[in-house]
Amino acid sequence: MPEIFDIIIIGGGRAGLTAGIYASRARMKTLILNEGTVGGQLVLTHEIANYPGVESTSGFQLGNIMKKQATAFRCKIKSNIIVTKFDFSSNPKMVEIDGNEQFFGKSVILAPGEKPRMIHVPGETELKGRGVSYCATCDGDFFTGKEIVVVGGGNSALEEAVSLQNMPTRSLSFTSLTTFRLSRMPLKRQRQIPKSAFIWNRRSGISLGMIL
Amino acid sequence: MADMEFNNPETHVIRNAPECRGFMGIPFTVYYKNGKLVKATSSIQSMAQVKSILDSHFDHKQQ
Repeated sequence: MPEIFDIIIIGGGRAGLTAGIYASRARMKTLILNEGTVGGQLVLTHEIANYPGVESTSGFQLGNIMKKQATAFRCKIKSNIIVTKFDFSSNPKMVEIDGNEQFFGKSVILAPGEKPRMIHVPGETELKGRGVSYCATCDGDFFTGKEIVVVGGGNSALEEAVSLQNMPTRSLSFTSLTTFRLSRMPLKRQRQIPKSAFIWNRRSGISLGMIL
Repeated sequence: MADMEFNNPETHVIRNAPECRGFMGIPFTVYYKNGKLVKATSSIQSMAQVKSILDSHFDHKQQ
């Protein structure tokens, strides 16, 4: 007879870990199935200053604390797996990972999170890690003395551009392909972008190539 | 991330490898087979991408 969990949570980011904490603390047999690093995109965030109860911390540390909380309440976590199949019509519900291991649960919570959004321009895939980056915190240092273009019109793009101000880059452009969508607090941070950076707002043909 | 020792001088073997020329994204992942560097990648790789490399360069059997 296979082990049956009360709750299976797909996704081990902030939402999945929170669900895991609450469920396991309520004495529910809980399993989190996580594809990548526990914490999700939290671990890529250099500084988090708006999490209630925490003045300032790194995303990695916050994710780690959430993981410890969940496991302290006996929540099980399986990471570095791929969900290959599921059947939510059955009772109990079935989730298969890596094509060969199945788990059963009375309930399933979906918390798959997000991945960096690609803009699907020529050269983007080929140059990932060779000039195209999705994380200023991770890769900003490689661009010392180089020109940087931040593509995006939302809060994430603006925060990345702000974090790059601390690095000795040659120039910084902040562009949106369609329109700008910024909430008020990040708008205040626009002052941190030097006057040499220009901001333009239009869709244009973009292709990426390596300069040899 | 805070504990990464990417800037540790000991990592020069990886950072200066010809196969890593042009890399501008962490992590650098290098694959050695019988002491020889056979593949290197830059930036985060998905499990599928890693498995593809293992399948093509190593006699890798999934357990």
